[in-house]
Amino acid sequence: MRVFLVKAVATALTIGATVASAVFVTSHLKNPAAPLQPSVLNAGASTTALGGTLTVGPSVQPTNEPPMTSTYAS
Amino acid sequence: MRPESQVGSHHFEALGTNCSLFAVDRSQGRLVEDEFWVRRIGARLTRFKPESELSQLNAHAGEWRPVSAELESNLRAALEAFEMSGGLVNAAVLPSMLASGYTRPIAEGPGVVTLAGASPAPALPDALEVREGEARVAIGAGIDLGGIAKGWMADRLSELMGSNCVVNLGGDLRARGAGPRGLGWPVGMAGATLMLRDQGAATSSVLRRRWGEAHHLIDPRTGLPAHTGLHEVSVVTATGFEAEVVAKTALLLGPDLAPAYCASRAMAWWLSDVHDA
Repeated sequence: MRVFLVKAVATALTIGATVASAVFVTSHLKNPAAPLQPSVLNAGASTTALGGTLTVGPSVQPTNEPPMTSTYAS
Repeated sequence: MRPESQVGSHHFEALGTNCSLFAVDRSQGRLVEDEFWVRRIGARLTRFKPESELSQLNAHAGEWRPVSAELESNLRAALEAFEMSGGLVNAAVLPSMLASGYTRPIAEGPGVVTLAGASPAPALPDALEVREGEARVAIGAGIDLGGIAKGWMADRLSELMGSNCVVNLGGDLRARGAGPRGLGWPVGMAGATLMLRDQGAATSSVLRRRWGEAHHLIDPRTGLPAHTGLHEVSVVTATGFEAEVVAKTALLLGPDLAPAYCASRAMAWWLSDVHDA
């Protein structure tokens, strides 16, 4: 009887730990805006622009607005 | 989208280039004070004035010299850039820059190209030591902060200007906050407009500051002006300093390695190679 009780408690603890881990992991998803992972796995759309290749990742939003200022070689 | 906020702007020439400041709800007087900050810090960090802090540090190679908090921070940033780039962004290329003829501001014309003093740059930690309030340049070495200083200044000035602003120092740029309409700041890159929000951008090029076959971008591996197959690289990253380092590193890596490197370090990037140009 005692052996059975120990086994039951051990099994219950194992299942409990598994469920708790699963709940924790699913409620703490990796930040999708993290800079490295998305840009490597999903490099974004590439277009030809001004004689070069422009690639825009998911954390930068293109627009049709005129720019207020620009990056340029100086 | 929220109503558009009032944006103040101020444009001026400093650091040998064009500078622009934009900020929501910041008076013109404050923007002029920000210009003075750029001029004051720039005067400390330039290598073109013999009395500047950086020139004095270079002139007294081998000696520990007191340095201001700003110069110390820039020197530490240069060491960080060296580490980040695997040695490709190396502020110790000054002797090679001088040998290439870049001895004075580009507006005054190039100096004499000798290439006699051009040689692979030493590892920056061997050429520059920094401790609290002091720095030492190794004998025979020289430090040029160049674009590192512009990226660093864009980041620092944006912190001083408040939570919603853009600082553009000759293309080294930092955008902070949500912009005038809450959608980010519209910034031009390679003919496109990108909305930047708490991000930096920079362009590295061998097409400007060029004279004859020489130009300002030295490859520390050879000590000679870089010829990697890329002519120009623009990137968006988290800060202006990081953008400067990533853009220069990508250009020096060349067209085969730069796309993968940019994909791992940048949020947007534009690569122009020799054939494109």
